[in-house]
Amino acid sequence: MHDDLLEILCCPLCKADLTLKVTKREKGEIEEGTLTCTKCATVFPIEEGIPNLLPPGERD
Amino acid sequence: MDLVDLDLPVDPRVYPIREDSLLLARTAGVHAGERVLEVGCGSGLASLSAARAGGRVLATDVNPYALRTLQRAARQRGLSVALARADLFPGLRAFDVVLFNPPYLPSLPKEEEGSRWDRWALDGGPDGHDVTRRWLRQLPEHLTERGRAYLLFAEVPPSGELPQAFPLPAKGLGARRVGGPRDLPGERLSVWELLPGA
Repeated sequence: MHDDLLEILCCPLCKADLTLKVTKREKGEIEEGTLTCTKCATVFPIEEGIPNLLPPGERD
Repeated sequence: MDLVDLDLPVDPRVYPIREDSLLLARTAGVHAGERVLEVGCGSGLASLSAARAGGRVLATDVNPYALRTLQRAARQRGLSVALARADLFPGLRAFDVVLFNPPYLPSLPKEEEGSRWDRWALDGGPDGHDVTRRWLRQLPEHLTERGRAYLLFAEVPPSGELPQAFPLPAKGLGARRVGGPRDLPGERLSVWELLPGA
């Protein structure tokens, strides 16, 4: 994912902004990392460039 | 929109390109620079076509295999499509254009229903419109001021009359038919443009 995707994402549970943490980047694109809600602190994984915005427990 | 080529990768867990996919992708109007969301992208034909038209596209699906398939297809074509795993709108803000080809088939009896991938792609609840209703309730707050949506609507089975007005209550939304009707065995497809504040 590109960094600017963050502008149009929010926490699916409480709609607050998300904080991005990148653990792996390739050619400028975020490959691995996390999005963390600034309000409820729920963590959403980014795997192989794709953020998973399903609530914990619905991610299987 | 002009379609991208139809030679997209196939995964048995992903809804393939069918007449409904083609009708939505051909009928939806996307202008360069617009922020586009395709909800439930499946194979991603509409997303790829919107990206080629110059839209800044985000495609979502609950099915991770659909997202991987579309990721490969976009890379192969040099098109930029952002991806996220999501269930309709939660986790997403507002867009200029929202595209949706929902699961629209009435639920099958328990013993006949297929894999979870099939259910996600096909099962629209008892009358086929449950997912569409849920999407319509959430839609208005996810459209920008100039925002509009294109919805694939299916009558299964066809009522026998041409749809004159959007047949589901869409509170605060104006609707006009912009594609179809297209008759297939057992179903009639149309595409509706939805505008807020009408």
